[in-house]
Amino acid sequence: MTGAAEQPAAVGGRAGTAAAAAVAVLLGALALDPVFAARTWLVPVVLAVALLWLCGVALRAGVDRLLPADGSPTRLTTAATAAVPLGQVLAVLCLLTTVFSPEDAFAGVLPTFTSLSRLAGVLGDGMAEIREQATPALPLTGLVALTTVFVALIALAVDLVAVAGRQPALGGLGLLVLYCVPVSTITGHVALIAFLAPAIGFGILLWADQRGRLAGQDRAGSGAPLGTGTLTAVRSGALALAVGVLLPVVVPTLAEGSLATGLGGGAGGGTGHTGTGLDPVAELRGELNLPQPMDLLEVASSVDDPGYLRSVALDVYDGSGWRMGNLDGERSIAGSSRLVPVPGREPTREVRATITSLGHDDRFLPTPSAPQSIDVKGGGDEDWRIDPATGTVFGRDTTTSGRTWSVVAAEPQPTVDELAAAPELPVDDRMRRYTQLPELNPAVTALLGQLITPGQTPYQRVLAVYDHLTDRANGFTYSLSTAPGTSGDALADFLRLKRGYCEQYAGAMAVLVRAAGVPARVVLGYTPGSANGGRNRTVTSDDAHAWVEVWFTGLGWVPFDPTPLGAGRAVTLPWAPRADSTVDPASVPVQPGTVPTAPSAGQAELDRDNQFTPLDLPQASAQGSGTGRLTGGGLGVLAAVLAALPWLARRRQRALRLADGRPGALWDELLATTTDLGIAVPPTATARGAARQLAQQVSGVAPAAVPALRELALAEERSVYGPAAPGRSPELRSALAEVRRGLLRTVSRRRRVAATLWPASTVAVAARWLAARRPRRPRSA
Amino acid sequence: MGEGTAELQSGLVAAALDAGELNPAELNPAELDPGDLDVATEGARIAAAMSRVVEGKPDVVRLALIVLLAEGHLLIEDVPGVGKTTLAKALARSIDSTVRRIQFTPDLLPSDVTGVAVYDQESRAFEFKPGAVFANLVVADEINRASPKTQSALLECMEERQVTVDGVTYELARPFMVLATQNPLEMEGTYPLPEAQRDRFTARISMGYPDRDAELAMLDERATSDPLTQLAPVADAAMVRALVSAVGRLHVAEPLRRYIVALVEATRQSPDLRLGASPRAGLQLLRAARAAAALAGRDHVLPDDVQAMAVPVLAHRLLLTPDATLARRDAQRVVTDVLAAVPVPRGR
Repeated sequence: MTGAAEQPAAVGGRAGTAAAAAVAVLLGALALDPVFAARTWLVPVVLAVALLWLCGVALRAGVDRLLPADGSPTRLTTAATAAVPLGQVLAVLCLLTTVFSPEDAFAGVLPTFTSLSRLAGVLGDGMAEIREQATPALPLTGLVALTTVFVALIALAVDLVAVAGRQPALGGLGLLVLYCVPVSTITGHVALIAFLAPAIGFGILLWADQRGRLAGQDRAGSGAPLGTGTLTAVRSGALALAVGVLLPVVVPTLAEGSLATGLGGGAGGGTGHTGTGLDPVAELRGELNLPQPMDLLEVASSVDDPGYLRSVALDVYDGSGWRMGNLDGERSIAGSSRLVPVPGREPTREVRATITSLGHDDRFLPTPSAPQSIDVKGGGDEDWRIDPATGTVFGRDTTTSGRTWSVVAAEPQPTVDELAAAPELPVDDRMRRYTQLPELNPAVTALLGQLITPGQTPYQRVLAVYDHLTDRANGFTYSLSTAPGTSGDALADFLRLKRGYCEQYAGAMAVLVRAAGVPARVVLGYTPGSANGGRNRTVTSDDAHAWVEVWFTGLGWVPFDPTPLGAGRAVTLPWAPRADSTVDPASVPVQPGTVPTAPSAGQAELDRDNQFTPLDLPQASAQGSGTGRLTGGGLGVLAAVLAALPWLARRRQRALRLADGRPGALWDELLATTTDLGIAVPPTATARGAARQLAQQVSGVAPAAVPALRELALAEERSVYGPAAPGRSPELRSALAEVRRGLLRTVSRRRRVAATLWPASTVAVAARWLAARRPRRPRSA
Repeated sequence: MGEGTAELQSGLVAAALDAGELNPAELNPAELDPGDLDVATEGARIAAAMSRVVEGKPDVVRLALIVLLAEGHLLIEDVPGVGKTTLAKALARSIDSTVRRIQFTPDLLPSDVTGVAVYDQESRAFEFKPGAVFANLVVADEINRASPKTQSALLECMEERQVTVDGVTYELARPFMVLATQNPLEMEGTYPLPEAQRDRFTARISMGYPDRDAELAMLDERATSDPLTQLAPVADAAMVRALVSAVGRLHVAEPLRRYIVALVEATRQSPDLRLGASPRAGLQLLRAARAAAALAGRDHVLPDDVQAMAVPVLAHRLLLTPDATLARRDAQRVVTDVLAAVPVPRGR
């Protein structure tokens, strides 16, 4: 905007950018659609954004009128420019007043002090509604007001950045903020619109950005190099899209919404992730979510019904999750035959097991409970330490990868009578540390009050808690996704919403047992796995599990498992019969991201029982998640088709060239193959130059390809530069096949796969095609 | 005519010698039929003969032969004592044809090169005494030591392939090839060739020092005898004419011509160059590529031939910008860069 003559064009361009920004924000706001149960929230939001836009355009046009003829800004215009957003804010404030608190406003529009305080009250209600409601939320007045303010602020920011700052692309950050809302609040799959609408909005912003840039270059007088980087742009863009859409379909999902962090997922405890083992601070869900279960351990046991394999005991509950306390690493496992002290009165049976790591790679050594002696094959016993208090065996700078170890364990086998007779824990007992808890959510304490009655023995109290969690009538369902909670306390949410997996079950039981005054801890490890002949069992990543150990005075640690497990996985614990004697078949872990599973009859029934939620929308949520999966699946298929397009095109091209069979066509095919494989043959290379380069590359792995290369190059030469072109010959085709085989052998498998799925040559052709169809500006424009 | 290889050790006229033998008309006898010729075989024989003298330098020998077959002239540029003159003499001796050697000195006159009309008292008429250029092969030794006037006299003959004295035009022999040697310009007492005149040379090569073994062998052999004296001709002028004619009939595909034009154009657009390659350069590049292809036994020219010839044919014609000179870039490098930037057309 250097001259008055250019002003109208500049103003027009700016209005266009402002409109683009407004439309983009509205599209971005559509991301909030899945958060709400009804669409009524949309009206004030659209009004606010439109008002902001109109107001901005009008005010800026006014400011331009103040500009002197030469277009150079004066003090007055600078101040006026700065006042534009202020005017926009005032306009939105008027709108909010009209919509949400017109009673006390002047003429129903102009805010007064009373109307403003009423508006503040509405917004405060909105804050409360945010805390109380689960998604999808009812569009109550306060929440809608708050949403309108939120979107309006973002619209203002985007408008400022895009129009005043002339950086429309940066405005995309505002859309990202909008997109974050459904992502962080909705459990399960976010509906397609939440992704698509902001994406289109961002596309509009990018378009505005590009337009602005080109306009700017025109003024500068230099030609716009439109064609530059087209290939890279097309490739990276398409690749990003394919990866972005495909990856979540293929890879196990981790995020289920921020509110749904499991009980086990507490604050970090200083231990890094340890490979394909159980990370005490990571969530088991990752293990259980692997699309293909991975074989971890092979166990040869001396008994037919082995118990759990323990990896880690989590003995500290910090209010948000269970974590490992400090491990005592003083003692190594070498030479000891009584690693974990067993109280004298505890009846045990001896279990001998030889465990071989298949895919297990962890610094924690899984052992049957309670290990008495461990012998790691191949020496290095000194590197393995045991914490006698928790029975956790862990490696110092070593992992279980590729190792075999034999364990002699004393498995606790208390009888019900013995447990029933176990006395109360003495007040000053050292095991008191296993009853320590932070202050619990009142809902949890209240629940415990209902479960136990004074005067019960420890075993009775433990069973009361256990029964509550295991009785089907109480409505707990196994799911790898937890229900979205709103209380901010994951434990309270689980006990209220009754959806979770082993970590929630075990964590909740351990907390409740501790609250009942009985020492307890959460143990991470594996269920015994599946038998694969005799007493050999294979433990896979699907067998990762968490359960509870409870301390009974004089008896020691006794395992309890409140999680409903499939028949194949459960370990029979005679002292802890499940309140639901039959195992619910629907409670077998559901793999999210695979086939959409309709809620089973049992689950539907449980959902109906779930009367705790203030806003009773679990069915809607379950359905939403179902359709989300469907759209996700459809999107996946679409993405797969899109992603397969280059491959299909390349196949077709290859077939055509082979059918042609002329030396030129075959040479083209050879060059395309090198492009696909990422072997750079410069366009300045002659046929024999290229052949020489490729021969050097393949001669090591495929000497037969060298004469074939020579043949192809000579034929190509003769056909292009010779007096008479040689005809087709089957030898040339087989030579091409030979060379292709050789070239494939020279590159990594990753490259080969990439060449098949994403043939660079096809993409290059597409990019050239696009570039050729783009209008070019003359260089000296 | 075998005796015609007399050399002039002084800077004086070669025309004084053997003048009687040099009837220009006799230098263009009937042609051999080039259709029967195998250029590669004949070329290999000449090259083998030369290599007996110019040891360990097959590339230089081949290039000299290429220039001969391309009907061009060769500029051999290097420091003294690396065998420039030996190369020229070896080529001359391998071919049974008239050879003149002119040692260029500052006092050499243009008429010494072209010839002069002398008044014959007996016949009372001017009689033309041909200069040194009236030969099939002319070795212009240390061309940059002569005055520009004399240089340009020679260079005009090279281009026109004829000499005009006192209004009478005398055709030069065919084949006619000038092998000029010169010391690099940094050497003292030289008149550097003007750029325009360097353009007349088809190719420039530098000999380079021989490798260690070749130098040892040379010390061993040359101590007693000069292999040049033992060199017997393996071809004659008629043969060379036939070879040249055969080379000229090699197939040049359209994409290849486009390639040459693209290369030459690219030198004109190079930011490093004040002066790019002329259209004549393109023509000579094509001729040289043709000869190279023929020597390789092919009936068609490849971009590879063009690439191989590009540096010797183009580099000496290019003028670097002062900036490029300051940046210590040289013309060879610029040509190599151009080769690495111009795609090879494939014609489809």
